[in-house]
This record gives sequence, C-alpha cells and structure tokens, in this order.
Amino acid sequence: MPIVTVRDLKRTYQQGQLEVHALRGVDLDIEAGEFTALMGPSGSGKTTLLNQIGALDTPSSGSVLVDGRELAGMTKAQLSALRLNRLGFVFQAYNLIPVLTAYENTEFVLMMRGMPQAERRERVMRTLAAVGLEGMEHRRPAELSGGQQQRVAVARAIVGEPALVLADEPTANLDSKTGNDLIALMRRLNAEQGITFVFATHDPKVMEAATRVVDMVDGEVSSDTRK
Amino acid sequence: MLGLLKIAARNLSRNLRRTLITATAIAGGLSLLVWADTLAQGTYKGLIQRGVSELAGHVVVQAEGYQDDPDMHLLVPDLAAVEATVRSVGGPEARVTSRVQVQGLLQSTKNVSGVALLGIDPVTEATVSTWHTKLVTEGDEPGAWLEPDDDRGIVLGIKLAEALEVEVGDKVVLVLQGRDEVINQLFRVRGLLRTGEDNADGFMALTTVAAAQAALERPDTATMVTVHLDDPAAVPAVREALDAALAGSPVEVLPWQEALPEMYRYTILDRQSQLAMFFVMAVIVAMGVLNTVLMSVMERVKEFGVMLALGTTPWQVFRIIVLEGIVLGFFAMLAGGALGILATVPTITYGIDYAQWMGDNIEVAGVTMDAQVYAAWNWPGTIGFCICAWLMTIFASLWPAWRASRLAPVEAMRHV
Ligand SMILES: Nc1ncnc2c1ncn2[C@@H]1O[C@H](COP(=O)(O)OP(=O)(O)OP(=O)(O)O)[C@@H](O)[C@H]1O
Ligand SMILES: [Mg+2]
Repeated sequence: MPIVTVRDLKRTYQQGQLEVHALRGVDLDIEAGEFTALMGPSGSGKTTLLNQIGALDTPSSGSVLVDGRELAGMTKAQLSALRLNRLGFVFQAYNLIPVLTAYENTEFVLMMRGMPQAERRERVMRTLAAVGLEGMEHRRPAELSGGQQQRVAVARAIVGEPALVLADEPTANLDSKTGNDLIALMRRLNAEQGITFVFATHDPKVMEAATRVVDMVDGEVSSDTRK
Repeated sequence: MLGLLKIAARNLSRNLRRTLITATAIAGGLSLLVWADTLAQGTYKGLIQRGVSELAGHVVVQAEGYQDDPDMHLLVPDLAAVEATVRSVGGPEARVTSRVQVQGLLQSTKNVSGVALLGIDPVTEATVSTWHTKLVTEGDEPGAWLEPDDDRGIVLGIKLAEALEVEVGDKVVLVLQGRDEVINQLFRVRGLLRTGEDNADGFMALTTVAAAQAALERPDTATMVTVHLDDPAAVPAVREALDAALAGSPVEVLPWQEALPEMYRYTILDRQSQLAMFFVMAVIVAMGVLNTVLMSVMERVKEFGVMLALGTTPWQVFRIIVLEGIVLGFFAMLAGGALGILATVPTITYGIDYAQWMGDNIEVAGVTMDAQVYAAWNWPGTIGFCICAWLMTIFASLWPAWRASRLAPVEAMRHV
C-alpha cells in the first residue's frame, strides 16, 4: 500500500471574480522509501499539492489518502494527530520557534506527543547529531546560520520518525554548498532510516539526488520518472 | 503541561519590557486597590466605633417607639431591673452602661444657652466612650471627671462654658419644663471637655444618671441601656438573647445598624460606590491587558501557524497563551499584593490626616469622624482583590488565545 494516494485532486482558489485552478486533477502514489522531487515552474501547484498531502488544506474535489485513510473523512483533531504522528514538515522559511533553542525546537513535536522526558532527550540528541548539530543544542534560531536553522528544521521533521517528510523548497534560501550538504543529509536519512521524502523544488541538485522526479505544469502532472 | 508552561514563560521573557509594563500596570492597580480598601475599612471601623461608643452601643435597649420618635420623656422604665437583666445576658465580655438624655437650658449668672445634657454613670461610661480622656487639664483650675455619687456635679463642653462665661467651680442652673412647673436644678462645674467637635463642645453637658433622672422627675429610668462588645460579630446573638430576656418590658432592642441607621446606610452605600469604582478600574486595566496580549499574539501569528501545522492541536495553542496569562497574572498578583500590603503598613501605623483636605470637623451621617484615620487590615478583601486581579489577567488572555487557536495554519504561516 502506498503511503500517499492522490486521486483526481482539484483545488480551485477564488480570487475575487477570478477562479485560479491550482490543481486540475492530480493522480499520484507515493511509496514508502521514495525520495521524490516535485518539480515545475513557479505557480504550477507544487506547494498546493504538498499542503493537500500534509492535511493543511482541503481539496475542492478528489481525494487524498495517507496511510490508506481518506483525509476528507477525518476530524480536525484526527488531522492534527496525523500531522503530529505520521508527518514531518520542512518549510522554505525554516519557521523555527524563535524563543526555543535548537534542542527545544526539535523536542517540540515529541513534547506535544506527550513523550516522557528521558526518551525525548535521547531521541533529540541522536537526531541533532545525525543532522550535524552537536554542540549547538542550546542556541536559539537567531544564533544559528540559515543552513544550521534548516538543519534544525529537518531534525524537527524527522525526530518523531514520521512515515513521510514533506519539504517545500528546503534549499531555496541556502547557498549551494549548504544546500548540497542538506540534500546529502536527507538522502542519507532516507537510505539509512527509510524515511520517505517529498520535495517541492526548483533545485537541480535535488533532482539529481531524487529517486523519482514528478514534473508539474499548470496544476497537472506532466511527467513522472523513476530512476 | 510543563512543556507548554516553559514555552509560555519563554514567550513572556521574549518581550520582557512589554511583559514588565503589563505586569506593572496590573500590580499598580492591584496595590492601589488593596491600599484604598484597607483605608476604607479603617474609616468605616473608626466611624462605627465612634458612633457606637458615643451615640449608641453595639446593642441598644430603649423605650418602645423611641427610635421612631425620640422624645426625651420616652424612657426605659425599671432601669435597675432592666440593667441587671442586660448585664446577666451580656455576660462578662459585655460592657453595659445607661444614659439619660435631657434637652433644656443652662443658665449662669451671665448668660443662658441651650444644652444637650447627658446623664451618665461615670464609672461604666468611662469603659465605653472616651469623653473622660478629653477633660481640659491645663489652666489654673484643672477639672475633674464626675464622681459616681456626685449628683450636683456637671461637666461642660468648653465652648458651652465660654458662652456661659463659667469656669470650673462656678454654678450653673439647668432649666426645663417639668410636668407641673418649671424645674430648676443647680449644678457646680467640675470639669470642661474639649472634644474638637463643634456640637459636643458647644452644647454638651454631662451629669450623673441620678441628676438627669431628677431633672425629668423620673427616677429609675434611662433613655437607653447600651451594650458594648469587643467582638462586633456577637451583635446578632446578644440582640436575640436580650429580645427574649426583655420580652415582657415595654422596650425595644436594636443592633447598632438599626439604632444608627444613617451611619449604617452610609457605610453600605459608600462601600458600594467604592466597589463600583474598583470595578471600573479593573475593567480599564483588563482592557489594557487584553490589548497587549492580543498584540503579542498577533505578532506571533506565523509561529502559531507553524505549531498548528506541526500537529499541535488548537487546544494546546490555546493553553500556551492562557498559560502566559496565568504566569503573568500570578507574578503581577504577588507583586501587587505585596506592594499594597507594604503601602498599607504606614496608613495602619500612622494613619492619614483627613483634616488637611477636609477641615477638622468631618461629619458623616451625624457622627463626627476623627480627622486622623487609620487603615485596617481586611484580609478577605485583600486576598479577594489579588485573586480577582489574577483571574482578570487570565480572562483577558482567553479571547486572544481563542483567536490564535482558530488560525488556519497555511495562511498563518504566510503571515509576515
Ligand atoms: N491562497 C491562495 N489564494 C489564491 N490563489 C492561490 C493561493 N495559493 C496559491 N494560489 C495560486 O495557485 C497557483 C499554484 O500555487 P502554488 O503556490 O501551489 O505554486 P508553486 O508551484 O508552489 O509555485 P512556486 O514554485 O512559486 O512556489 C498559483 O497560480 C497561485 O497564484
Ligand atoms: Mg511553492
């Protein structure tokens, strides 16, 4: 069973009088362990699709299934629980919580899950080490570089061992060296821990690293290549 | 919960300046409230103490109908028996005295003046009121308090004595209309009173109970038998017991609230208007707090969007913000309460001189207040105000918290 099943998904935004068809009927399956790059020109609907898969937005029509469960049939609380327990997010603008340290930002998701302190500590330290942030646990986001902040964001996304990590242009704000490191890191996590990744990206380096490239044009999937 | 608390505390310390300003506003308002409340309580207490000790008692026994029509000939009959009953019912804690009020004229060799004469028991009266402490002691002829059996002695208000041009040792004659003929009663001035109150100094005279009874031609009677208690909370019980014990006599038993209705009403109304003022003040502070909390939430829309996107439930977001209110309010409460208590200490120890604003003779509902007013601890009030300030801060954070919890994550994250 695929982790994500998208069927004839449409999302139309009402912009005053104008209807914007951000998604015009997308069909897509994402299998466990895939490292998928969602490519396409600006405005082609990548972010819209990721938000749909991440249960952050509701479709105009069609369906999204995560773990075989239809999102449309779930309550708000169930969707919160799904995001908390099964999904990880990396946003373009890092979006760390500024008052919390790297450690605490990473810990946040586990805390919300109600995990005991000792277990949290062990996991957070292990994850921060995995993303190469040992010794920086007690720094606040403002005391970290952009690349380091994005590493914290990745740590936060994977610390809960989610089934799927959704990343919207994770490398867009990073210089190419830092971006490369981050891609390598996620590729490693994918290979070693079997975490499934879906990226929306313009970055050709992400495409090179990806095991699957899905091209979008104008709200539709135009090509889908597995390497 | 502890985790949410940590986040809430961090958020408060993030904009420490704003947090401190908000907390200062709450604490300042609270301390002012505590201070004003203890002062008001002290004022009421002083007023009641004064009125009760001089004009009535905590419980008053007087002739039936006297309260509605205070005629000086309406007297408690069989005084000795009634007083004995009151003493035995009141028990050892109660101080009991009897008073006879007489309105008449006082004549000296030079002048004549109206007088409000009060027949008192010099011994028991000295245990319930403070007139005996207000004797004029300077001058070449220092006065003395009345002796218990000195039925020819009289103590005059200082201004009354001046008007009559008499001094200690001089003679005065009380003149009043008796049943059949004009009564003249000769007294010798034993002492002078300086109370600082125009009414008392200008018109009051004290004699023994027997002398006043004689003037009214009514032995074994009194205008009132008053009971003074150390614990005002015992008033209803004493009143009830007296009512029962005196059931056969033509007397009425009144608690001070009924014996001094104007004064009682004044304390109640003044308290109500004060509480209303406190409430308005609290609302103003609460609106300020609401505004700052809302502002601080709106600045963090993006953050709450991220939290919600990560799977934090709206309820958890709600709790983070309410916890901020709880923590902020808690410390503001501690600071404000402590400050209020600290500010109250001097007004309790040294009091406040109302005279500097209101002149010497402040009369409230027929009772002259002491110009020096002392605050009185009112712990239920103080603790109540503290808790109210805390709750108010929490309430002020509910609406912003609700708004934040309802944010749509995607839009919130796009917010800048
Ligand atoms: N909230 C919204 N309201 C109205 N229109 C929207 C909204 N969000 C997206 N759109 C529109 O939907 C279309 C798809 O947008 P989307 O953000 O998914 O594109 P994208 O592929 O992520 O682009 P980019 O590469 O620039 O991030 C665009 O035409 C966009 O203007
Ligand atoms: Mg996008």
